[in-house]
Amino acid sequence: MAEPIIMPKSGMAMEEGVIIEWLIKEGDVIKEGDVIAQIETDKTTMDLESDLTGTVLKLVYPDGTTVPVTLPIAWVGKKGEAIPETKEIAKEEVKEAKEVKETTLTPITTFSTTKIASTPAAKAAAKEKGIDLANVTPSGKWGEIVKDDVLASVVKATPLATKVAQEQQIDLTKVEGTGHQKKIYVRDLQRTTTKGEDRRVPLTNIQKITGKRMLESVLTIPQVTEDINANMDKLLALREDILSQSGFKPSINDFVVLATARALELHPRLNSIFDEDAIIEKGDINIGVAVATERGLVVPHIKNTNNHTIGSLHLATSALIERSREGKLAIDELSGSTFSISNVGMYKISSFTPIINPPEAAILGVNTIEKVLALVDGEVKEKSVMKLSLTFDHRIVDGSGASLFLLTLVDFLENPLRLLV
Amino acid sequence: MGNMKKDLVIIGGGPAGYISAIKAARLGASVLLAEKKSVGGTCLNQGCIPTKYYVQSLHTISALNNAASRGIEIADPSFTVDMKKAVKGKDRTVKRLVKGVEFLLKGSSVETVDQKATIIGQNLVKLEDGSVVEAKNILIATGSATNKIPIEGIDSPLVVDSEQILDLEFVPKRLAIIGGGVIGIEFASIFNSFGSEITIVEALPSILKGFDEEQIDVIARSLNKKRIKTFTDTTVTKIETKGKEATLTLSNKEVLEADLILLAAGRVANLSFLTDQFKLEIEKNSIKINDYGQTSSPNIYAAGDVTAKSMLAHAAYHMGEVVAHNICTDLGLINQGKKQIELDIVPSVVYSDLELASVGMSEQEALATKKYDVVVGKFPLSANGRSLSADYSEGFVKVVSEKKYGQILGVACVGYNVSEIIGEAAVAMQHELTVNEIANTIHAHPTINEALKEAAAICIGECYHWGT
Repeated sequence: MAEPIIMPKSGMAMEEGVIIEWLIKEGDVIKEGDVIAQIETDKTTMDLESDLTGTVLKLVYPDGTTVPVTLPIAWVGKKGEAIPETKEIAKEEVKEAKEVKETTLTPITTFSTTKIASTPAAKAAAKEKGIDLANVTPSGKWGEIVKDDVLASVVKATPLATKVAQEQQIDLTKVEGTGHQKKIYVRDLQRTTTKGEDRRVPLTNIQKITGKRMLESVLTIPQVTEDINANMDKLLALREDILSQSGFKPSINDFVVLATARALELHPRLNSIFDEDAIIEKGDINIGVAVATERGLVVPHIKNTNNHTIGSLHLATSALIERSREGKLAIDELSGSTFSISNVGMYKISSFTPIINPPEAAILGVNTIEKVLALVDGEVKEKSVMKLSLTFDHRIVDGSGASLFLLTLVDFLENPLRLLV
Repeated sequence: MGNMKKDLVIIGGGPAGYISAIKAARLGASVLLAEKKSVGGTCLNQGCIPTKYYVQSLHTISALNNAASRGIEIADPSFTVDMKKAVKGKDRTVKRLVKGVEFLLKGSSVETVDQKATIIGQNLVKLEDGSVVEAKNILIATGSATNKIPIEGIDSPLVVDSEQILDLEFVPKRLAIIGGGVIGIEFASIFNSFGSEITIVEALPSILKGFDEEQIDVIARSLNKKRIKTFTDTTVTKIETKGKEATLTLSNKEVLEADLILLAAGRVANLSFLTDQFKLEIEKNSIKINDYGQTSSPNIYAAGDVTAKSMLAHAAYHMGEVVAHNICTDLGLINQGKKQIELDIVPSVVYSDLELASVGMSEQEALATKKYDVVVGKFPLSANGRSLSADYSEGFVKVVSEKKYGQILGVACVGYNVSEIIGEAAVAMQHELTVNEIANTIHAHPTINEALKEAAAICIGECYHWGT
């Protein structure tokens, strides 16, 4: 049987309301809790939520109409169902509806005295769940609390998590639980910032190891960093060509990794390790790629990087990065790199001093690509420039050796077709 | 068997192997389980279950001994243990449980083969009959074997391990046990009740190292009462065998005579599935895995004793389930993200006439962290109606908590039937119930279990069955 949606009585003093705008039209299928109209009362504007599920059979009044409270303003039922004779039935239904509404609308006093704007459905839900509306964060268009806000504020937490949250004044509604049906455990609280209290965050194993290695690196290796600019115009154009012709788009990083591998073939000293009284030039070129993960920085490597094509390298690197983020790296992918690359270009960094990943000879920092104006044959032209920051171990290679390597690398990047042959 | 392809090949049908086989198969994976012996692993065939069968005999003997004091007059109170029959009885129970596991495997469409299997490639498992199975994923669940320690004369025919002793067809007059850990203490109690004279030699400063000191005290007193001799901080330096007698020389210069020696010096991961053709990363003589159960080869997982994370069947069940979930995620059969193996809260139990059950930190460990304002609630079982009516007045239930939130850091119990309490303690800890929730839950009376409620109530000063 078709049922009416009535003009809600929101506050003891409210006698009529204005339908500002219908958000549904006849024939729409709606469900309980859907916002169907904006209603203005003498105090506020609010979203009217449907307490019925079904097809909208009729909107009784158009936008802008002032309607006395508890009168039907719309009818909902099964598609094609007849609406009861408006006049007669309306009275009867209104009476019934009024009673229902009044019981569910008991928190109205809360509404009018504390001035927390909320929809009738929200109030009913709050009453049912025993939730104080003052603790609910509103998300309605005009700052009012809707039913979903109330439901969202019903948080489930373990007894211990509840106590810890109380004591540390953590708002449980802002914590995402990891337990069954998102129940909040103490471990979940640690991910939110606590008010006024310092937070001790234990290092992950990866962070401990990285920290130790980085410290060892700066304390034991005489490190020098050199910056050089590469003109990326040709490479960017080539990348677009590859995309249009093959449908796959290698990243800038893929090109840098490949160019580095090729440059290392010509400068084996940069692909070395320092061993007390000798330098060991490594037979394989395995470039490590620094990947930031939730648990810390990892540097998995691509074995025999120099044997890759740009396509195979793109696939290998993407898979490696994905496995790193998911914590699925095989142990042998994490040790045995001979040269490392750290790319911070995506963060718009223009230059930095990477720290050598011991026992390697050098690490290449890759920065963002910037558009700059340059004088070319007396004319001002725009070009895309990327800075490369190379940190090297001065015991293994000196400034001239490192610079020559960088020149070769830049040459590859500026003439990228050479990387494809 | 011809060559075939499987989503998952599992090597080893113990707790980790069979549970993941059943789970993965029920989630839709094609699973082959290779188990040379019988399914159920050490736990079912040579560990938990057979020893519990004998522990029950121990209880029967205690009941016979106590019968007179209960007014039960037995005309001829003398008895002996016929080990041949005892072994048969044990085997019946084991067989029934093995059949149960076989039924579950079959019902879940897991294919099983009674062959040894070795890994010969990242996706290749070779069976004993020479056939090679191509596997998308491999699960290593080969379990563990008894540990051998180098002692002069250890190869004596009078030395048996914890698996061999289960099929012993006589009760040795004098049994020397090398190792005072869980296995050593269980067999000491069992054979003591069967009539053997027992001596335990433990290299560490205490028996049952790792348990709460007060729990160990209760057990040590109980062993003493039964005239079981215990040497701690002592090693066996030499075993000399003459016919049916062995002489053990100890590091403290004492000399022991024995008719049988049980070597109970722990267990080591079983790595016999590895071949020269395929290597995996090994750490401390066990398979190295990450939090998801993956070995150094990402499609090869390992679970249970072979990882040496926790050599307990229930830890293996957990690992097996998590790993099956992760493998089925890899296979695209489920899509809820991978799970991590969590072994923070694993209860452990030792069985004798008195049981010892623990979960979480001992009182000493909690204090040593210096992180907590430790509050201990200890309820003696001498005040527990159920325990006293069973003639047991020894033992206690101890809740180790912290003051600020009432968080339960650990529970340690010792006494009659306390193994059945520890599950509730584990639930409470895993799901962060505090001492308040335990204390405010109605526990059935009279049960041993209500001692846990009382111990929790002591922590918040609300125990009315103990104290003043």
